[in-house]
Amino acid sequence: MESLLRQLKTLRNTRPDPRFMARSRQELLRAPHHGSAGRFYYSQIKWRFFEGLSFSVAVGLAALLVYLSAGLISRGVQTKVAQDEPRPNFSISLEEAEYYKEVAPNIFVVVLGDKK
Amino acid sequence: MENEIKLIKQARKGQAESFGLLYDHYCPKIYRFISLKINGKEEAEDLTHEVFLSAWQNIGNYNDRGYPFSSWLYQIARNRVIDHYRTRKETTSVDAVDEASFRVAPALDSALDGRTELERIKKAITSLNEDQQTIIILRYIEELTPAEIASIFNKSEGAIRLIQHRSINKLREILEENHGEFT
Repeated sequence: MESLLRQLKTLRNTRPDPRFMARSRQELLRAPHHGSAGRFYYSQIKWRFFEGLSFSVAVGLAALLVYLSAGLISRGVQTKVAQDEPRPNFSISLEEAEYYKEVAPNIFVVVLGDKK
Repeated sequence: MENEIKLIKQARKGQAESFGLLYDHYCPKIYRFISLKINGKEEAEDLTHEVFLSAWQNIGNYNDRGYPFSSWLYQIARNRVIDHYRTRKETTSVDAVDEASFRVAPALDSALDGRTELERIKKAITSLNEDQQTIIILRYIEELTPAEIASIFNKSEGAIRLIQHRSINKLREILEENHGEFT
């Protein structure tokens, strides 16, 4: 057992190549660093907040655009209808009323009132 | 390590040179730990670099629970080796190697005997299971205390001592089966 333990201790002589260590160290220290856990979480929260905010603003603007577009379209349609169609004339001449008297007694009463 | 706590605090603030000093001190230990668990010098170097890269980028998550910074590094290294074995398979078989290529001049035999013996022990270590390998390396080669090893495994000291006892006996059995020298 003692011999085995001595042999195991000699495995401590295993060492990395100094060139590897130098190269690895240089690359590591150039890598991005997040710092303390607090700073890391703060940066994540800040990033997520602004990302969410920009998304909400984008959705709101899109909804406003759709609403304005729908409003403009419907107003345009109404204007066109008003221009194209003449104002209806509901006045009826007495001659027409006499005719309608025979055909539609109820209408005669409504239009001319009580002329008896 | 002297001033380790101060260096860690400075590294957490982003001072790269402080982390560089931690790297200089712990890199040989982590490299040794990894190279005793996997075959291949280049793979050991790659994994060692990945361990320190992970440590540098996540040093904010390190909590000083009274154990050295090395315990945290060993934990990262152990997990990285486990991931390495999950994603890759060993493709080199010792049986496939031509023995004639290893014949050397008699004068060199004695010098190589010692190295061959160490290689035999390394091979025996890799034939243990992952927990046993790690405990053998950390306890008998890196000379960590059972308490430090327990923090790496998240187990009790008693459990570590039990595994340690079984591991060294198992290692001895393997070597005796192959050589009969260690009794």
